[in-house]
Amino acid sequence: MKKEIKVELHKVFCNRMFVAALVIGLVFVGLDWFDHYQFIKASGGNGDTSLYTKWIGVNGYTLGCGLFFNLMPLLTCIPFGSSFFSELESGQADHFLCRTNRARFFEAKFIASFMIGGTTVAVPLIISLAAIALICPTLTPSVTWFAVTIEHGFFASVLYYTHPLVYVLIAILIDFLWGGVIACFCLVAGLFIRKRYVAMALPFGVYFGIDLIITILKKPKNYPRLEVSPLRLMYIASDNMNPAWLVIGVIVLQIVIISTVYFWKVRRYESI
Amino acid sequence: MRYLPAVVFGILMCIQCSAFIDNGLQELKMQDSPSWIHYLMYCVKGAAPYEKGSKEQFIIPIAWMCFMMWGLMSGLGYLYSSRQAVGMQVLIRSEKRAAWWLSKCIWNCLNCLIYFVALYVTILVYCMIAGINLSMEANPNYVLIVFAESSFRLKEQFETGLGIVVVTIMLLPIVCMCAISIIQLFLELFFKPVICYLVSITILIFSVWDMSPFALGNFSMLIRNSWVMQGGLDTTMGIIVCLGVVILISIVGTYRFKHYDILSKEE
Repeated sequence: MKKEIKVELHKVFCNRMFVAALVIGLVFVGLDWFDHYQFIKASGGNGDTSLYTKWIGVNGYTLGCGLFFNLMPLLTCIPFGSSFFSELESGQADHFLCRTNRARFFEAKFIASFMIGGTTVAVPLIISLAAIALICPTLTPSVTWFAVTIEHGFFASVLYYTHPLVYVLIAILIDFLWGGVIACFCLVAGLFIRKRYVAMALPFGVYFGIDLIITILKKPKNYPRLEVSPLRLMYIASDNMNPAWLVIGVIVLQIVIISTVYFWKVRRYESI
Repeated sequence: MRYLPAVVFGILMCIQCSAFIDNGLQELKMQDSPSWIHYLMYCVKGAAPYEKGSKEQFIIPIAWMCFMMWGLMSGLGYLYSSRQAVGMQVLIRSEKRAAWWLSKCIWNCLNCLIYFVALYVTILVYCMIAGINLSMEANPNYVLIVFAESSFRLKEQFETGLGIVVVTIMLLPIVCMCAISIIQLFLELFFKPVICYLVSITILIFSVWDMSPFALGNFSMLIRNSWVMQGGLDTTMGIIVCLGVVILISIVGTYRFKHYDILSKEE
């Protein structure tokens, strides 16, 4: 199993498309950073200028942040999305299946896909944290600040106002998990859809579609401000309440569904 | 299957629009009834301009985004797949590269047109079944209801002529999508289709962010048109810019494809 995972990880991390996805993510991070830089240069910052209010994962109002989190489902599918599909199509997967245990091969694919998806999201977030730290002080946010969008009942809200660095690191971990889940969704889509690029764009379309349906559904009057759209749950400082149980629960549910479908389908994979 | 998202989108938005209009009617107690044009306006309204300095959360108008996104997805990978297998045989037999490229551009524009026609027909059929008026007149009172969420810069009076309805509401979004789609098609000469799709979606998100004529997606959002919004984007300018992009890309693409290595290495 270790050997198979090593081979798959080597394939995904030494891949031009992974570099392209990282570069695109970093462009969005750069846009976000530049917005903050311009603001601080023009105004000198204000009382609520802090690393923990300007970081791309929580600010929510810059173009870079909007691009990064809305395009995240597409970005995570770029590195590995077409690789599995092209291996199946070209017959290269059959060569691997002849030389290794079938279950181990597909498990390694799943793990590698998860890792690459998560890395594609986590690396730009970490670089954003470092870049914003160059221009903003690391002040602990206060509930009285205008810039903060995290309210009581939101994901790890207490942690945000007491140990913000820990909060940010947990947020990066959660986004890593989201990236992994979306990449695995793309992997499963490739098993069912014969058109390669439609399979890669499918998770993106599905998440937006779910968000559209949720927006259209009429909510009951006393409905709590709970965020149920997976697309908006990807963004940790969402507009509606996203308690930790909901965020983690949705991630776990998706992993369970996707892995069940994936391993059910690959069990029936016929290479001839 | 390619145009099924337009049908599904049309049905969902018509249902939502009906509820929206009913709520508006209860408050305003109006006598006259809406027409199918108001439903169409609801589908293509988009979102009010984003106030950049306000530090409000930047939220994409999900309905408009889904519609445009699925439309761009319908043409995804077309050029790429046309250079593989059977498509390569067609390319060789078409003898002139310019003819082949221009045929792809025309297909692309037709694809966008049919996608929108699917939406219009869906709305028409829904309105026929629901007993809604099928006239082409845009009642100003209903226009206010449709755009009620973003009333801060709405004009007090609207022109309601047939020309405005056909050109601004029906034609301009099609031309806008043609322009973005042809940019996506042109980029497929250089990059993988998914990267080109990402560029198209970036154009759309940038259009939500910035209300400028260079952000092409703005012309597909009716609420940002000068017909309804003070200081909005002009329809004529929109058509000129979008058609200009289509023509320019077609010409540049023709030149580029003439020098393009069609036997590039397989993945």
